[in-house]
Amino acid sequence: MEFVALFTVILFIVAIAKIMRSYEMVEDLKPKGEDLIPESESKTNALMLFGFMVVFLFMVGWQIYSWGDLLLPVSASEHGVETDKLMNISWSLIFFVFIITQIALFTFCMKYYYKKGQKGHWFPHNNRLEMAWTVVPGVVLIGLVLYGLNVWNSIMRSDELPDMMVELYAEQFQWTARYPGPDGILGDASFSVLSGTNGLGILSGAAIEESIDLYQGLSRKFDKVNSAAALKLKDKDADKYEYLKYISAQRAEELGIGSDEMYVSGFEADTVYLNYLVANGWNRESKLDEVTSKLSASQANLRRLAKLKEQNAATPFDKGNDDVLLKNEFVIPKGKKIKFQFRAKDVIHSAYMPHFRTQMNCVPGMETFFTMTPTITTDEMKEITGDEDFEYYLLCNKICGASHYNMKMVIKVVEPEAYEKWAKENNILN
Amino acid sequence: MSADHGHAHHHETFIQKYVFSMDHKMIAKQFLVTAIVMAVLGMMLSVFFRLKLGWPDETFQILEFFLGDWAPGGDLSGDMYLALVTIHGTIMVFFVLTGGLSGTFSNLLIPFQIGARDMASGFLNMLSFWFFLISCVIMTVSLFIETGPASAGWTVYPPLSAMEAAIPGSGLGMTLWLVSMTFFIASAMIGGLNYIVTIINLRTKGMTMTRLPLTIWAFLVTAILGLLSFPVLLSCALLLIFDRGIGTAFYLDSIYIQNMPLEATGGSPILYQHLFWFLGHPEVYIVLIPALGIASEVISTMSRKPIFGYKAMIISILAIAFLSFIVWGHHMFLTGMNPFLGAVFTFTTLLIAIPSAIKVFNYITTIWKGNLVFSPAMLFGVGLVSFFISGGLTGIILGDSALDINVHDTYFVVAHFHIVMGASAIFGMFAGVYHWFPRLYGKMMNRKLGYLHFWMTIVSVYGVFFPMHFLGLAGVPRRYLTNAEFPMFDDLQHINEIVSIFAIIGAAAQFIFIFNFFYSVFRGRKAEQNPWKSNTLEWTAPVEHIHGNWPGALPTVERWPYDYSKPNYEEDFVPQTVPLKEGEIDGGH
Repeated sequence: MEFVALFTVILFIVAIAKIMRSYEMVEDLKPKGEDLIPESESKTNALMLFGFMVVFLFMVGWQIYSWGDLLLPVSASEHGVETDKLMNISWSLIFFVFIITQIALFTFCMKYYYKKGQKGHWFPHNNRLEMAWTVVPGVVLIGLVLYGLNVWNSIMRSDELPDMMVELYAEQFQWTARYPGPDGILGDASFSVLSGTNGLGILSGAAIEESIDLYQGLSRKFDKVNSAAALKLKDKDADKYEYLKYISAQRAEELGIGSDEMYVSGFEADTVYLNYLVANGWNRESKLDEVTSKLSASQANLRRLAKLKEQNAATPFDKGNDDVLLKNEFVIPKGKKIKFQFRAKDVIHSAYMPHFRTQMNCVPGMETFFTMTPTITTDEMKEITGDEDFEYYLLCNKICGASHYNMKMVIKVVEPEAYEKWAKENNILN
Repeated sequence: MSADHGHAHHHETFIQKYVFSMDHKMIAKQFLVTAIVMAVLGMMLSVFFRLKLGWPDETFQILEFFLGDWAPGGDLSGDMYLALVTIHGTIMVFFVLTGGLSGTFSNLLIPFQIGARDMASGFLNMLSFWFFLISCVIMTVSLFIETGPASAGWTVYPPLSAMEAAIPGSGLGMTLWLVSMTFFIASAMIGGLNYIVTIINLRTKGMTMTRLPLTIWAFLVTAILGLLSFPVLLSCALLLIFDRGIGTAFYLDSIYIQNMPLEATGGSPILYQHLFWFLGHPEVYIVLIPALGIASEVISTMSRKPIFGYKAMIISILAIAFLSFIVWGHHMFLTGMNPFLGAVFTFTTLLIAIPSAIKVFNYITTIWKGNLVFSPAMLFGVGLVSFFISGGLTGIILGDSALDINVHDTYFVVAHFHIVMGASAIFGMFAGVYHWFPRLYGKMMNRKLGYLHFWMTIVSVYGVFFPMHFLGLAGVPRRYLTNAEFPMFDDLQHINEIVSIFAIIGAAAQFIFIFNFFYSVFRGRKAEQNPWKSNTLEWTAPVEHIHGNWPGALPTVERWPYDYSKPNYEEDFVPQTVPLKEGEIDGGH
């Protein structure tokens, strides 16, 4: 089938080439003029360029007319009103220049197409004109820059204290919102104490102890495998034995039973599983590399944990114990200044809340911030947009892996009273 | 190579002539053909992901045919989608619009237009091409490995690009990407150095700097930009290689992945972005400036009118080049960097609009009251100016930090840079190919097919990228496999469908060009020596390519290159070799 298709394509190309050839031979028979290109061709193209401009500008208008309503609704945040204003002013300027220059370009194309025996107008430069289109855009742009920077500074460099703080934590591929508990403070966090049960790495004495246990256990386990690898040089059989022990331990983990039970089941002597793994591209060298690097990572983390333990002894990390974590949806009150703190677990993400004209990257190893005040509740926005199912969303807007498109959280904006009630129910204090 | 033995006939073997050639004309052709192959590849990748984006619920057998297990049953997987996006961007930005554009036209035109026998170093020139080819091959090979090619976006930000655990493409695929880019950077730097040395040293008698065609000015400035910025990319890539391979932590800090805290800490992912964009932003102009240079030359010649404001054009290129080094932070407004720094970058970024505006107005004034011959090259030149306006203006929004907050990384950005950088530069390249094809191959390309190619392409470029502004303003992020997760984007799907339809039409139109190109190489009509009645020196050389370019002595330059329709001359062009009449003033006075 594919060969038939390929053959057809080749035949098609050959046919076109032949047609071209005969067409050109016919053309060659016509008397040749002095022109670079026949006047009629330039004229046709000139008219088409003008026609193109008309259609193009019409289509631009049509798109604005028919898609204008699909854009983001009015800004739901205080600063967003300002950025929208700046945006509209920029757009009017841009449109003015866009229309003027495109019309000039294409109209001149139509008007001055090649006419036999004519020459171009000798006009190599004109200082006044050039000065004009240096100074005018310069002045306009400086105005725009100053206005823009004014808005930027008011958003990013506000000195006012926020009314409340919320943390948004990004990882592949989900968001978690963290609110302070009854103590009103977001506790410190560290990636050293991250675990299945402590998904945001919130620090506490207990979390540090648990992690120390965890990584000591891992260190011991990896260390054994590592020393088994060292045996390789000395004793082939011993190597195999230690190795099978490691494999069976892994298998036991997968099955959720103790490794003793594995030995009981007689798995230790069974090389079938190992052969199966090898047959499936299971590379022993790279697996050992992985073990070695995990060992040193565990040990490095134990050193970090030791430091954290010292710090904890001096001033205990006890602010985070009561923090409240939310997935899927978080709630913020209308009219309150909210300072968002952003963190990331693995790669760079970006917290994008388009309805609030708010965006900030979430960078591993860094805390970033954005302060904004929501002004329209979800219910009010449902009325404004006429869409009963309207929701505000938090999106990820920095490429972060295969399911980048799937990092979603619903943001509920409610009246302050409703927020107080919700916060109380959830043990949140802000 | 540049010694004065121009018409000596060498007996060259096939390998010397066509493979390991040190002749700038052959190297130009090698660059061009390689770039065309890479462009087709890059374009096909974009068609693949546009199919998915346009019709997310449907499956396409063609995807399974080409991508196999990455599109099981014809449905693109999330990993492979990002891989396609990444390699599409890498190929287009680096291999087509940097290597292809500069490599082809700098090589072809610099010796021809300044009146030199060849490049300063023929050997380095050959090396530049072979490094380029090796890097193209490695990048292409990376498409065929089991874990897939690099898939962290063409900017390959770490930590995503640093850990295979984060995305499979960051394994071997990313290693090959880095190796390929290392070769590419070496190629660009060797080439650039050669261009600069040639332009400075090998200009023929009378060819002062202010008599250089604007193409040469553009290539000179581009080469300088490349030479200053590519080493930074190299060091940036090198540090990434260290982080990936030997456990350093230049770009890594506090990362927890696959249930383990990473050992390496203390670096900063943001450092990578600073280094990358220190190249990355000048890179935009490395792509654009040669295209603008070609447009200046083509528009002036085919308008039969001197380029308006020759000196202003040079000054604006220099200004753009200078400013391009102090604006990189506008890619990073939202990384949490100091807002004051953001303000500085906003200021410098918007300043670039001034020299850009000068260039646009000068092009339009050049066309005004000309005698415009619409060859395919001229049409593409006009298209370039139109794109430069449309795409450049939206830069005013993206460069303004306060406005960038909401359109950053959305389809608005995709629309902006594809129009101003992608489409403009590729139109410059097309203009160059149509215009200098007689000089490259001694044949003429078919005009009618050229018109068809132009019209289908300009319509589909605007059809693809103009609607994307609306997607961006509606808040649609780029690099999403599907928008179906967010009900707020449901009403926008038909826009994506329109975009995809135009993308397919646009891609199909390029096969007209490719057919025309190869047909004309072998079967095209023989070209005259100066088919466009142009002033520049390349048209004084014989149609056949000879070693040393000119038989006998090198031409002497007597005037600037833009004496089109000069008063007191019967013809509407006066080649640069024609001496000034008594009392005639040279240059644009």
